[in-house]
Amino acid sequence: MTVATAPQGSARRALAPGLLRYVVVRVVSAVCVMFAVSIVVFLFIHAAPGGPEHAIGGELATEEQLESIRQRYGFDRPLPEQYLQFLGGILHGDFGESIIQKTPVATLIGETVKVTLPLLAFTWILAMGAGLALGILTASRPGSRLDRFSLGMTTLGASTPAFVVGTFLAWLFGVQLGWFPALGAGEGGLDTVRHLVLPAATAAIVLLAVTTRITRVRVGQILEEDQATFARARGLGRWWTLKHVVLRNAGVQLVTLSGSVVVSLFTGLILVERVFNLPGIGSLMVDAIHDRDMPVIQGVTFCVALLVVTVNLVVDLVCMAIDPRLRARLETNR
Amino acid sequence: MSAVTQVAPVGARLRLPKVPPLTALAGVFLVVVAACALFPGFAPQDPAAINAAESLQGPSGAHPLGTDQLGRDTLSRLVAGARTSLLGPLVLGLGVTAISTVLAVAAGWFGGRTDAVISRIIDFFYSVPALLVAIVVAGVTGGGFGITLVVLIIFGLPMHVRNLRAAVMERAHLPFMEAAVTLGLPTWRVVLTHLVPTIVPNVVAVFFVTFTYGVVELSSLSFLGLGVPPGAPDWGRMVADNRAAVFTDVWAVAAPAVAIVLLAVSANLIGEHVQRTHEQSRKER
Amino acid sequence: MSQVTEAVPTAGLSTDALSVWLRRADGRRLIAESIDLQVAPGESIAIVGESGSGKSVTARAVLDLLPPELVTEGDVSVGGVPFLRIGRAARHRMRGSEIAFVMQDPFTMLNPVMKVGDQVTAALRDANGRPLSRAARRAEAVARLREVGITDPAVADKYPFQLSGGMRQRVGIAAAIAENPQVLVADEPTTALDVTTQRDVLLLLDRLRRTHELGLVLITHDLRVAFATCDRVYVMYAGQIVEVARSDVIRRAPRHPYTAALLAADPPLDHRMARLRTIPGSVPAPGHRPGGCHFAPRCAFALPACSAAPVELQLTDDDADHRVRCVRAGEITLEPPTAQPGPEPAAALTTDGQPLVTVRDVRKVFRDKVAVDGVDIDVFAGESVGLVGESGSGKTTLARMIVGLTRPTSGTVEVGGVELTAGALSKEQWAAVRGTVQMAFQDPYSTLNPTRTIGSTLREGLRLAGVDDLEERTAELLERVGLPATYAQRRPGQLSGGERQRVAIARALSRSPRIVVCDEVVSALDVSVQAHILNLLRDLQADLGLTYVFITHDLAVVRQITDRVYVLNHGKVVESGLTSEVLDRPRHDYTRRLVASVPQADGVLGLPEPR
Repeated sequence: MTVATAPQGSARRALAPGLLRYVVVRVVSAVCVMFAVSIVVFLFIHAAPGGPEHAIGGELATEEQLESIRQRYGFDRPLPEQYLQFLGGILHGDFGESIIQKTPVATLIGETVKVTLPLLAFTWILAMGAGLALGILTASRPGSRLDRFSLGMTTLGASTPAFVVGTFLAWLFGVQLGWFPALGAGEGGLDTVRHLVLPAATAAIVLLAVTTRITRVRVGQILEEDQATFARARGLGRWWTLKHVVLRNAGVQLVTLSGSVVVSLFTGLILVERVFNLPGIGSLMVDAIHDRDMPVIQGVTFCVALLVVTVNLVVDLVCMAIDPRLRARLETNR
Repeated sequence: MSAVTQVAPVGARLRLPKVPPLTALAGVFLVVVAACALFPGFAPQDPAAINAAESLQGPSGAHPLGTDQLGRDTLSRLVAGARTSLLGPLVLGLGVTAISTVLAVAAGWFGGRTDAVISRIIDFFYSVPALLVAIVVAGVTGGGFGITLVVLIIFGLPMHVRNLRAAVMERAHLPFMEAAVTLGLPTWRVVLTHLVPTIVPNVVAVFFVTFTYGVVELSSLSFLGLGVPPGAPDWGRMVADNRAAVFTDVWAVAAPAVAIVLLAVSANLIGEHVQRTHEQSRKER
Repeated sequence: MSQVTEAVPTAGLSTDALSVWLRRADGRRLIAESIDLQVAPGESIAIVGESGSGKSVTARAVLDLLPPELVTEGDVSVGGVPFLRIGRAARHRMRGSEIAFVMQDPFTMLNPVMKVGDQVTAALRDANGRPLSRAARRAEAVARLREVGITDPAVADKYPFQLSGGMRQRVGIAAAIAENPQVLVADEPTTALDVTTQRDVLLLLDRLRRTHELGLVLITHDLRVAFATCDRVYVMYAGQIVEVARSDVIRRAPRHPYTAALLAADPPLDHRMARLRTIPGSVPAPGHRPGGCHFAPRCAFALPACSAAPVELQLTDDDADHRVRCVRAGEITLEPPTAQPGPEPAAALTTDGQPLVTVRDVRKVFRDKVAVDGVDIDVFAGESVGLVGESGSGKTTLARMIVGLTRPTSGTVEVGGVELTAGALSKEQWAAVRGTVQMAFQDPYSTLNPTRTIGSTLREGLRLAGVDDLEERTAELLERVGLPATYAQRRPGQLSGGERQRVAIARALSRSPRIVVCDEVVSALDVSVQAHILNLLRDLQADLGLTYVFITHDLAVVRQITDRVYVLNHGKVVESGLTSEVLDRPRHDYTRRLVASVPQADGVLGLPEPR
């Protein structure tokens, strides 16, 4: 009764003060986190065994080579000064040069992203779409044969590492049946698509277990709530209940899920790219680790952190947008 | 009730709990792996003996599960690899379970500033993928098994602390907790004798979930050549080393891969069984 | 043969031999047995019963809203249509448009993330069967909300969590009857509400029944609500209808021993009973119901013949509409429920000398909400003091401050000479407080640790009180609260709600306190069980010289158990004095409103006498 004077009928309202404050704080804190990440990433090279000179010159570098590296990279200057230079580079999209390939890290990332990003997008849609559909279907028929089967499959899926799934699919469809190529990225066009089928399927299957189970649990809860019974008692249709009761109430959980799926997909793709020998950003990272190619490790880590922070920011803001209860809490908790 | 008494032989007082056959099998498998981990001497041959002439052979009398690319006996390597494959997830499971329980009880029971601090830290780490951090840390430090485990434990905590904290908070204000306080029981005894027993099923679930995750994550790291030192017999590493064998003789890949999945599925099944039995007993109350 | 009971009406609702079974792995169990109901348009009936009677299951069976493990037999006719025999889709179309349903909890019934207006109008279509335009929807929403007494059009744009419980229940009703159904089934629609709000919602249901020619089926555990709102009452016990008659007939001349016992156990508001009537035993669970008359084992009039064969619902001789399921209905005389009043507590109670509990100018603020706002309270040795108020009045917070579970923001609380608010208390001071004041809680299902035996729970307190002969004293405590000593080996899961509440009281007594704070100890219990507990509390007070601080929202209970009362509203004491004085001659407006809101059989709701 205290908020009796809500503006009437106006479709567009200015952001409530609490909400505005939340958005600003959330964006600013995301930027701060990225600054913190940049410091940690900058320190990578100093944390490497043998110090930064060896990290770049390799373990067998002579004293002269080390000295020239020190000069060239400015390791003799004070740390803050080095950091500012590093930060300036990042802000201009410059992560330095790969030690092994002698190519700018930004270029390497740009090339590999072209392989990884379509795979990520395609797999994300697959895992979310199929997981949602299966989760809702099984939740509305609890205890059915489909429900029990899907429960068993999700148990299996959650216990199977991506590289095992990938190796199995490569063996079955690539070697035994010969339907799809088991290795490589293809020569562009349709061939690329054919090469991406098994990797995408691998990553999607692993995450499908997670998306299905989380959707099943949350939707199952909602369907057991009074509001679902009340909707049924009013003769409201199945689709209405799905759209307005199930999806709206599960919205926050599903948005959060879709965000964490992006993040874990990225991890999964590192394995998948390894299994299928795809020249994606994951392969770039793993090769760099084995070669101790520090600038590449730094560059990829920073980009991945940027992805994670951005996804989380978007997820938080979308949750605010779809759940009035979260917004209301902002206004009272000031 | 009557059905049970009919089936049970006369005089049989000890009633074994009803376990589904699949879960029982899972238990047997875990026992076998644990035995291999404790007594690596079970290995029929020297797991490190290289014999280039016998590389990638299928199953035979001499090599029940065939040989790998270097001609090493796959079964012996599986037995030898049981130790790292089991130890890692076990340490991870125990570490995460213990630390998350302590943090969750501290945050959920005492509330206030303790809760605020713990929750803030947890929120911050919540969305950071543990495996990714482990990969980066291994890449930067040249990392070993120990540091990898520490990273996985730290970044594996947030979800479980959050869930357990919710369970604690749900119970902390139940009348029987408050009655214990009102009776004059010291706080530590209320926590230990009333609160903790009620969240034991949740804690057990955390252990099995983390163990399963540990199997998946650690074998994934080994597959990438991180974590376990090169050359050590480890199931994930065996899959990686013999990856190319999918084109020729699949046994060297399939055996360790199946072992990994079986280990994870077994832990998962037993964890679910524990939770289900608890749910049932709670419903019957 | 009466027209109402025998002819199958084409309008309204009727059920014919409607039974509900629970399917389980070990066979099926009968939950509701062959229920026959009739409701004419514009008529209201109540189905009254305690928990375990099967009333809610029956309500849901009528609408075919049962979970899959419950299966239905028999027929339901809605407006002449055989509701359970038509196709699933056709049945679903009739829900909302012909027969509607309102649920108990207004906090969970509505969709929390959908605007109220959209929820009310969700089922509405225009003349062409298409969903309404945005503007039309809003206009409809405002109009429908006005029908249920919500005149502020801004409410349509709000979310349920922004509304009070009473408002939400109104919105729920508006949503349920949006398509102008013939019949409304309301399952305990006011149980979750405060008494003043309850009155408004009951009045609303009554008005809608008349203006919309609505057949109203009210499921309730509260006889007073049934009498005040409904034309006819069906009394259910252990899955059966045991008595049907007009409200006034049931109230004045019940013919079934169970009905009579239930009426007698209901504490009156206007006088104090010397002793509340109780019913021995407890309601049998499905699968454990005795053959023959289900009530026979608990009945004072039972003969061997009662348990011999199933008893049918039969007409009585005195009234054409009065049916009763009792073979001895014709021969026994049941005492009228209005029994002799007991003595009111003496006007001059010993309120002099040193009080045991002194509360002075206490405030408690949670975040930005003031729960308790400057309250003064005294409790003297040997008296029973009531703290009465609705939800949000601060009564429970106050009780928790007295036992030291909550710390006041400001003000002082002194218990047995120890000031709880004076900084950090020493171990000895706390021990003194714990030995002086103990508490019993509301919910019988969470008041005991489910993983411990009753004995272990009681021994814990005894050990803290420094008792040596634990076993003996445990048995003694159980006996004191009317339970056999063998209960020490049981776990809470094996006990009924009333038994658990007895154990909780025994646990409080284990520390031999001088004061017991009872926080709504009987409000979750059935009437007959409540009577047992109230009698027990009185006996304990007489035997042990206990002092009670009794927190409740129920004025009739306050009348029975307290000597003095403090009436709380929004964290402030608005009136205090002797219980009889305050209830008979309330001076403060709020107290008057509270007393007037208690539903009374004789038209206190302002309803006309049954037609």
